[in-house]
Parts: sequence; C-alpha cells; structure tokens
Amino acid sequence: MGRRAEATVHVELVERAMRGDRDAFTSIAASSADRCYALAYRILRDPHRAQDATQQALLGAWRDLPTLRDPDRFDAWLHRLVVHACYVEARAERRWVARVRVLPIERDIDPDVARSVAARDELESAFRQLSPEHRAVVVLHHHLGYSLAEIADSLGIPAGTARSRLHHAVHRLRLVLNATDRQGVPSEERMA
Amino acid sequence: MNRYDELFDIRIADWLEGDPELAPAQVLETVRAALPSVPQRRVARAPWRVPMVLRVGFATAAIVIGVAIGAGLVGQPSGNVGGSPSPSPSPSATISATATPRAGIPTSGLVTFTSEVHGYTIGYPGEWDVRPATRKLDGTETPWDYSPAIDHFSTPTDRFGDPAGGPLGALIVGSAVVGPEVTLESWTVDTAVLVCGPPTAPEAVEVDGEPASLLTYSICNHAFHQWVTVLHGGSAYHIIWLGESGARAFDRALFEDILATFSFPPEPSATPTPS
Repeated sequence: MGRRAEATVHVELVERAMRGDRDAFTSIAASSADRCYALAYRILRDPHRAQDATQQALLGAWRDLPTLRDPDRFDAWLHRLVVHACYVEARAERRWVARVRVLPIERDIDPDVARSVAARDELESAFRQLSPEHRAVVVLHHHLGYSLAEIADSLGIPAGTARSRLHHAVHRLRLVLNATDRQGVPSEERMA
Repeated sequence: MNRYDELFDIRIADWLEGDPELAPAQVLETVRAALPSVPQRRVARAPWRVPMVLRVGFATAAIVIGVAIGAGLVGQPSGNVGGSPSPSPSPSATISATATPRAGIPTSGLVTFTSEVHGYTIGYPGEWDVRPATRKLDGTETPWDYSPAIDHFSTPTDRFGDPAGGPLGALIVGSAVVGPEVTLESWTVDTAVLVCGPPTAPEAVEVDGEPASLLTYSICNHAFHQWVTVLHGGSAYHIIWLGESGARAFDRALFEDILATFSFPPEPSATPTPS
C-alpha cells in the first residue's frame, strides 16, 4: 500500500536557500517539483490546478524558508505547503460543478479493459466528492505511505483529526462505490 | 484490518499510482522566473506558526462579516478611513492615539501614486519602493505579495538581501473586474477569509466614500495583516497592509493615514455626450 516519500532534498541546500541562495533553492525546486505536482494532482484531480498549486507552494517555500526551524524537516514542511495550496485552489473552484456522464461501454472493447476503466472512473467520481481535507489524508496515507501520526505532523492537525478524516474519507468512498455498484451507472458529481 | 479493508486500501493505492508523476516543464520555468521578485521573510519578524489557512468555518465567517458590513451600511461607520472625515469618535482614533513610532519606517512626505493597471490613486511615503502591477487580478486570485497583479509598496528596509534587515512594512493593492453578483461580503469571504480565516473583529469602514470591510489578523502567513476589501465601479479591490504583530498600533495609524489618501478612478459617464 502506497510508498514512502523519499527525502530528496539535501539539508545543505536547504540551509543555503534559507540564507537567500537562489541557486540553491532552484536546485531544491528542480528536485521537488515532480513530487509536489504528483501530490497536488492526486488531491485536485486537475492538471492546471495542480500546476498552480505546485508553483504557489514552491514560491511560498522560498518566501518563508527562513522561518523553517528545522532544515531536516523540509520535505514534510513542503508537503504541508502543497496541501494548503491545494486547499486554496480547490476552494476557488468550489462553485464550479462538473457534470460528468459515464458513457456506455462500447461492445467491442475487451471486457477486462472495460471493467478496469469503469472501476477507475468510479473511484475518480467517488474521490471527487470528498472535501480537499479528506482527499489530502487519503493521498498522504495511501500514496505516500504516511502513518496517521506523520499525517498529523505534516498537516499540523491533531492525530485524532487525521484518524477521523481518513476513516470518514474511506467510509465515504465505500458508500459511494457501493451505491454506484447497485445503481450501475454513476451520474453527476461535484468538484471540491 | 480485515481482508475487505486490505483489498479496498490496495484498490485506492493502485488507483492513485496511475496518476501523473512528472510536473510540466512550465512549473519550474515559472518558479525560476518569479524567484527574483519574491522577497524572503526574515526570521526576526516572522515567528513560526502554522498558518490556520482554511481550517475555519466559512459559514460562520460570512455571518460575522455580513453583520459587520450590514452594521456599517445601516448605521454610522465604525471607522471612516477614507473620504470625508467622520464627526463621531471611532475605534481607529483610539488606536492612533496610542501609536508609537517605529524605527526604520519612514512615513513623512506622502507622494501620490496612480496605478496604471488598477486606476486608483494613493499616497505613500516617498522613501518607499514601488513595484507596479502589470495586470489585474483574475477573479478571486489571491493577491500574494509577489503577484504581478498587485501594486507593491514596501519600506526600504523590507527589501530582500538587505544585510541590515529591518522592520517589515508593505502595502499591497490590487483589483479584479467582477460581475454584478459579487457583493462586498462575498468578495471578502472568497478572498481574505479564504486565505487568512475568519477575523476576530471585522470592521465596517469607508474608503473614498465606499463601504468597505477591514479585517485584522495578528498572524496570517507569518505577518500581521490589515486587509481592506471594497467594491467600486465594477471592480473589487484589496488594500492590504503587511506588518509585524508587535507594531499593531503604529501600523494601524499608518495604514489609516495612507487609506485616507485613496481615491477610486472616476467612473465613466453613463450617458454619452451629444455630438
């Protein structure tokens, strides 16, 4: 389940960037951009929003880097900035309602492929119904492999809150997927 | 965890695994290009604190702000920070009386600045640095202090790379074209409250005769914020002061002095001139 996020940023680079070294921060950004984008995309489910969130998080990191107390914790700190940038992006689009209709599967498609695509679509649809806060804990836990304590630490929330959010999110996903299975066809969904 | 739970967790993880891993090249290009214009905060003025961004009750905030704005519109404004002076005492006058000067913040001799992008005119201390906007804000886009969509005024000591450091003081002004459905309350909640959370005591004020909302945050994104939102002529404005929590009284007085000079661009005449 998931995978551990590797600390790819060298502490020496972080310390240089904290002292205002732009080249050092550019190196940090180069080695972190993919990881930040991957996290943002999984939360926001939109490439453009994910791109904006990644940029905001990286520039925010540069701006606030001197306030980072422990350079060893740069990666967790950056993840927090990305998640918060995702919250802002998601809220900004909350009035936009996507109306997605799952089209009937063509008869000549391999049934296994069709089932796989349909399963992914169902998960996508169910996941989009979660709030950004709930999406974040699901991604941190199931994709990055964070423990509940690490999620709490990374997001700056109590461990109990992290636990309840994850529990609620997974419970909600199951409910939606079960309902979809019963109905056969998912209908409309709501973004963020 | 039972077998069903395990299978469901694996299903989620596998699904997430299929998402993109690589950032578009524009991400890094944009960050590299913007970096020189983004000043770093200094530790001395930025006590560590986790921003409480968005972990707030937006509905509650909207109610509180709505009440404050409504009170300002129906009754006497609590603080007239622009336009004609108010004859009644206001909270801002009390705060001003207790203000003490801050070393390193020159405030004498306001000079006039007219924004080519946003159209307004404002006075600012002539010694300060100015970085004019190159475009308008896009809807509820956040007016970050490094955004090209805001006019940025900062104290000389607030520049990045200043070895002597100095107190933080910066003024941010930006605007976006908005539709008739946007109200002062919705604009405030969708921008300031979204970024900084609900304020403890939103105030109904006036800016150049327009009803406005003034939100004060002891700390938001590592800085003291006084955030004014106001609508005029089909545009919605942000006028934001960034300072230090410890200099709250001084910052409030200075912010009011600057706001009192703010004037909106004249609205185009509704009736065409006969030829």
